[in-house]
Amino acid sequence: MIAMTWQKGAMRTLIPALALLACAQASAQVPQAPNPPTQVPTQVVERASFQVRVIEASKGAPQVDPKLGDLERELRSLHRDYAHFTLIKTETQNLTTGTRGTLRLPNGELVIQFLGLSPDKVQRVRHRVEMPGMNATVRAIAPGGRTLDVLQVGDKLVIVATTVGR
Amino acid sequence: MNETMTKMTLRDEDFELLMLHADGELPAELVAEAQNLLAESAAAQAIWQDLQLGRELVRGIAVDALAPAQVKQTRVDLSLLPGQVMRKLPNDEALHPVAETPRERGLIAWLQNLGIGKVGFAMGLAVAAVAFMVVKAGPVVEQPQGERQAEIAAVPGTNIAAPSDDPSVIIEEMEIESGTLMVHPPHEQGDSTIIWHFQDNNAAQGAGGEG
Repeated sequence: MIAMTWQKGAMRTLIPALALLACAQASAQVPQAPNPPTQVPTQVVERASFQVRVIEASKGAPQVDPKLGDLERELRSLHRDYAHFTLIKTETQNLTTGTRGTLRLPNGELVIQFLGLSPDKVQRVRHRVEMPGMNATVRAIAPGGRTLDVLQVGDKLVIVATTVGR
Repeated sequence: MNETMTKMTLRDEDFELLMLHADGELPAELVAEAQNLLAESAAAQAIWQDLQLGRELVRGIAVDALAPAQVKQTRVDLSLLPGQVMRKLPNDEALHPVAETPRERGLIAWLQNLGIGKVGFAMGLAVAAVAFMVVKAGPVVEQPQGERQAEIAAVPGTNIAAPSDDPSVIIEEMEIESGTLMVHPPHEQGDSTIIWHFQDNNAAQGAGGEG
């Protein structure tokens, strides 16, 4: 009786053990690829520039600040009710990998963090943009590329035109 | 008073139940519970309507705008909370429980029929693990980093288009704390990518007013 009980207990342990051992053995038969050479990560300091123009749009007689000539067509088609555009300020942030630049907007602070260059065929400047109290986006923009972030502040629009460069 | 309070508030578990129901991910055995909740609770009905409205809004406005913007990774959820249209996905899987499959139940039952309980199985597993480590003591080859697939959490029910050319602007990731974010790709070569940041009350107004 004791022998039978012991036998049953041993079976409970051995059956799964043997099954898993068989699996392990089978997987050990698969040829393993050689270890790739260990690469020492090199910290490359990359640089990027962000030209930020802060524009205010209001309802009123159509007028575009002469300093915004390159954006005039796009601004005019932005919103049918907002036709009066004034350049508030222009700032250029020159950043290295991992650093952050801040810019004061009428409703808070804009933060740009340069994350590095993308390894794609078209090399893009990866950066994170935090809008005042709202959303953050990670963007990858080819040098020369431009974004317009539009926020409503009171009865006006604040437009942040960011042009990325190297 | 208490009855009114009960009807006008909703527990977190009930909210999750409604969210899963709205997404069509509720296990069959919980559908009746969700329907009972909707029949009895005014708060549940209001949130259910918001969920439906939010799905339509996001599908109709934001997602259609995001698709051509080559969004690679969009960690957004279609749930609608008061003051939020899209929000960050939680990191855990709490909202998406994996249902136990009949096959798993079958395996457990089969082992139990053999007289192998949890303790016996665990002991066997321990023995096997030691043996496995001895057998597998060879070199471990890690998959090169470049070949690892990035997690892509796309908006359910939508087809985010693959890049057709090399766009100058790619929105890789969004962290939406409040409001709605709309991305308009450039109309012409050299134009800007326009990103609207709407407070909730302005979403419909801005979308309708532009052009």
